[in-house]
Amino acid sequence: MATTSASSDDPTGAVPEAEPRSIFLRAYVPTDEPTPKRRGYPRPSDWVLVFDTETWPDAAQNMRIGTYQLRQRGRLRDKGIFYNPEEVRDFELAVLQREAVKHGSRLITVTEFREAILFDAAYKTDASIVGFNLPFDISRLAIKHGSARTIVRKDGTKDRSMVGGFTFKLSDVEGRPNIRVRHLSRRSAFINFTQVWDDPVYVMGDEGEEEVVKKPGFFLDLRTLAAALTSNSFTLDRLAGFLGVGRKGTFSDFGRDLDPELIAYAVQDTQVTWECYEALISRYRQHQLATPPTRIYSEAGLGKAYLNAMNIRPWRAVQPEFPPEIIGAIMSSYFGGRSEVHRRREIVPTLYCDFASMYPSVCTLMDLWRYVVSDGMTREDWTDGARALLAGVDLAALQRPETWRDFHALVLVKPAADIFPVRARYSDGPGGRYGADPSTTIGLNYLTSEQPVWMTLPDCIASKLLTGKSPEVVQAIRFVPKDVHTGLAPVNIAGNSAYGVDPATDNFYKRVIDLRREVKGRLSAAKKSGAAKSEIDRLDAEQLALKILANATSYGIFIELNVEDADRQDEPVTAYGVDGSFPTSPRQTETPGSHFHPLLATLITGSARLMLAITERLLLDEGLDWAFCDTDSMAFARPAGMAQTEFRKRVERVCAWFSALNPYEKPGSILEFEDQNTDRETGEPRDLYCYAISAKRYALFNWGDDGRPIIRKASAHGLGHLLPPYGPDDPDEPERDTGVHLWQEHFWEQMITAAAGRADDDDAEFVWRPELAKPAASRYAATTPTVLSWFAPFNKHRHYASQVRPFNFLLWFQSKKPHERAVEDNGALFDPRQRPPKPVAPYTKDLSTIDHIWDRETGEDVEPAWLRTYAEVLRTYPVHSESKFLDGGRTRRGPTRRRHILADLVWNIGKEGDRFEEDGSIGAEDDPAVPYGLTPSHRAAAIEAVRETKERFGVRAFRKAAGVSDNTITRALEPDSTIADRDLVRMRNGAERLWAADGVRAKEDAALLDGMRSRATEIGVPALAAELGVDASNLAKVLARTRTISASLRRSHAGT
Amino acid sequence: MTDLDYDLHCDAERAKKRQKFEAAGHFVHVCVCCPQDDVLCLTFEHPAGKNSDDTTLLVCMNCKALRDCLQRAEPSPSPNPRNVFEVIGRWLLSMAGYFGILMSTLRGFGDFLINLAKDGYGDDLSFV
Ligand SMILES: [Zn+2]
Repeated sequence: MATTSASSDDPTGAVPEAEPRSIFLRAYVPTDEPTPKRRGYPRPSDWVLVFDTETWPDAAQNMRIGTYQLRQRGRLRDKGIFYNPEEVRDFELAVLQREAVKHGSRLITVTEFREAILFDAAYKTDASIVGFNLPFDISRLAIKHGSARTIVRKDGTKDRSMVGGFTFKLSDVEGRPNIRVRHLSRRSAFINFTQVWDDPVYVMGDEGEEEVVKKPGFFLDLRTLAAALTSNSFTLDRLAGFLGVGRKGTFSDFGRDLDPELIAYAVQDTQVTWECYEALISRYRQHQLATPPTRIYSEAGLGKAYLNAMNIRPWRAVQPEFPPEIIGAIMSSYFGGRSEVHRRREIVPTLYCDFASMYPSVCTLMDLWRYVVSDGMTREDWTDGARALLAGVDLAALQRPETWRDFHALVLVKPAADIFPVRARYSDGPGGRYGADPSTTIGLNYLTSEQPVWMTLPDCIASKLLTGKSPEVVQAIRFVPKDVHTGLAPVNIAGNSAYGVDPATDNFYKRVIDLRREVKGRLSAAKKSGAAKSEIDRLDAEQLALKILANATSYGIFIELNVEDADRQDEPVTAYGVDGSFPTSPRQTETPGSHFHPLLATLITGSARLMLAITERLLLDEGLDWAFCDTDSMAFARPAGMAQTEFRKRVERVCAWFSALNPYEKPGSILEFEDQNTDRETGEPRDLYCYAISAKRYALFNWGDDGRPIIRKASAHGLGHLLPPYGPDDPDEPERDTGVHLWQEHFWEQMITAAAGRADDDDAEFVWRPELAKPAASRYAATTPTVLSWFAPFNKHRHYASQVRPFNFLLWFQSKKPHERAVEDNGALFDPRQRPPKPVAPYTKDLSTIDHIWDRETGEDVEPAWLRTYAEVLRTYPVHSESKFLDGGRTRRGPTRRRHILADLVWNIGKEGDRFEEDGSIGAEDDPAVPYGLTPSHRAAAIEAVRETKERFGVRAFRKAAGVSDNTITRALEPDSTIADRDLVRMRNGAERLWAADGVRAKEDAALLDGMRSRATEIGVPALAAELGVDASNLAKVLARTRTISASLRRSHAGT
Repeated sequence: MTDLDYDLHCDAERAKKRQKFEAAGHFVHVCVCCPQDDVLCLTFEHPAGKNSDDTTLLVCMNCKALRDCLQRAEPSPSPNPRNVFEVIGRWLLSMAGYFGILMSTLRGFGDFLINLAKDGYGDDLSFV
């Protein structure tokens, strides 16, 4: 293929040989979710119930005692201690009675707490029910549990929001509701009251009993609200410290007899919870939002609350009739941020820069706010416009902000070695290309595809910058926002009238970022001038709120899809993908969030990729290299032989290029030098180095005077599931300025030292402290029915109170595979009874205190020889491959090169919910997906191939080559065949093998080409194209042998 | 019964009442004619009569009693309660009744504000 100059990877400019692979594109499956309507929110009353439980530190984590406070308008109306009679012995009860009097608390049983306090007091009065990590405490109170199911609403639509959650029974009294809890993330859960037998609540009305809707209750988990308001994960103790309320202190020995100290701790726990609640609520009230705090589940929730406060009606509500085919096309162009390693496993002198507020910045440049406040959007064909823009666009044009306002377009392109984001299963060898469960990664690679694919206009421009040629445009759609909708209301951010935003006239994102920069300026001035702590705290809280608001409204909410398991009996649904609609029966459903607007999401990420592509182009033009990039940051690499000052000067020039695109009040470039480029103490420039292994796994460091690396910034990607092995030496305090735990810093130091000495780091032993020789532990909670079911064998012969129940958390360990064991024990490989155990232990913060690890299936003790140590788990980390690129193999070092993907099959996929693997691993670098099926055109082509092959070679040979039955072949050829994609792909592959072995196809194609060429000389290419009914430019390429003969061309030819 | 028990009881009744109003789409719980905002004192009102019209208002028992008093002076029902003119007519009379009550509320509040000003409260009005 005669293409491209200036490839960024390869100075020779050669595009690598194409490798056929399946590629995966997102699709859209409408759900029967009613369009969001918001009339108002039920609000909690002025009662608040705060409670907390204390449990045994074993696997069952049974509740021993709990404490509560019942408050009305902040006033303490009742407080008490409740206890579990089954877990409290007589002498302990005596202690409890004495201590209750001392603390002025009532002493009641847990049953009395549930009935009199939780139901009679809190549930009936619509109280806010407050706790820290409520799912765990609620599950402690339960007397029984089950799995939550799909609820069919009165109008027949389905509410799947609780699927994958638990239902807890808390009372034997008839008519008392259950509580449903669905885990969303480590920070949040949906919690509500339900009815046991699905019977409605009756209330006494004016004319006797009337049916009313059920009350969901008002559960407020402080962990959730704290995370939403601060973007941070907290323990209760750390939250108390952060909010400046009395800390509760730490306590670790929960296994001892109840004594005054433990009871005082429990009482204090609830008091601290209350104080944190008060402080957080007053922070939330400052925002002056109508949305009740119980409905804020994340930062995105805060963003949505602001949009609601501005009376912004979501796109799906203003334009429900928007064609799903177009949404499908939009979704197929959607890819996440670009994260890649270019210089792998070598120490590279670097300068590290990142784009200030990347997503809000591209939103501002493209003026996407107009879509958020508009009454929907119109679309028009813009094929010629896109062709003209792509033909003319260059770096100079991109430096003009007005160019970016033309980017509201999707382009259907026919990629021919163009550089696009490509989602594929790169880690598969050629044999495993067509698995049914695609775990995919996205890489910016050369793509060639017969089937046209939708890309955003920014992605097309990025490709042109990197390849030097425009992609072939088949069609383009331009979107235009309609008029601004009426009734928009200005808001004051964080309740401060100086921070007013008028959604109708302001560009919201620009305004919020400008405000934040201003507040940050005042904050650092206040710090320098030694202003009062309260003033500093206020400014800090304000700048944080502004940051969260900008981020929460500029990207995630537009692509929010809530994934739930589909009901088994559900009928096939219609999906919309890259080339139209097709039926599918997915195992999961994706329900769009309230502000779902995928056009904005795909334009935002597309433009962010364009920013990085511009950076790449500029740095290559400056004669520089790069080490890695990650969504909004770029690590420039200094070429060998270049002086540091020269390197710095050139990087500064690249950064300065972006000044013209700065949309904000404060002048300067939006591509900024990060702090890591200067000395931590002096602030003077200091040589920075980078060591990167694969996408999102990298560290930046300085060399210390002692020859040891000083980590400046590191990634914990792929390490986050491991508990810190150091115990109290590595406390779970607010983040270190490297962004990772102490032990992770040490790990990076080890890897860098090994790499620097070239002491073969492939075999490095990572036991730099004795703790690393201990079994590697992770913390897992039974947050879903699936995870809980893994304990079924353990639970089977135990009574309820000693079972592992929902939300119990345990330590998990990794066991060795039999072949790893065999290194020490030859017998391990041959003994069929030897299966790797599934080791768990009761949770503890101090790993040195673990005394007993057992198999969660058999309950038997696990031999230590089975357990992988930290060192053993870490061993593969430094050789993690970057398989989406060439030369990214495990032990390779140095530059990676882009692959060239020939889109062999195009699959439609949906997003998959977070997955827990049973072996304790999480597919960290995957972009997990549920398959929806082949695209219709690829299905049709495959069926056509089956037909041709059967006719040519006969059923018997075909059956043998494809490994399918006669019946399968017959079914594939039925009209409107519903044959599974998997079978179809198998037959197609068999067919390819037959044709290849036969050589018939090659001969035929050669003859066909000869025939067409002589005909073309006779009548000309355009006339021949018209005769065959195909595209003239494609035909020309075929005749010039730059494109192979497609099945459709063969058919057209046979038809003439 | 303790104070706590009494308070919990009343607030449980309030919660039921609120829930009922919210189910009917009322998220602001104040009487249409006066400042009464205790849900226990509020009730639904069908301006055109329960059988003729789905729209509801929230009104307090006091104002409703006044309105009922006015209603007793209105013409007796015609033979067909679903006659369109009958429905609109009843609705208008009902509205007139509530506006009448509202007027006395507004007068009272106006007088109240003026007396405040006389006593020296309030700032200068400024137009921005
Ligand atoms: Zn009233």
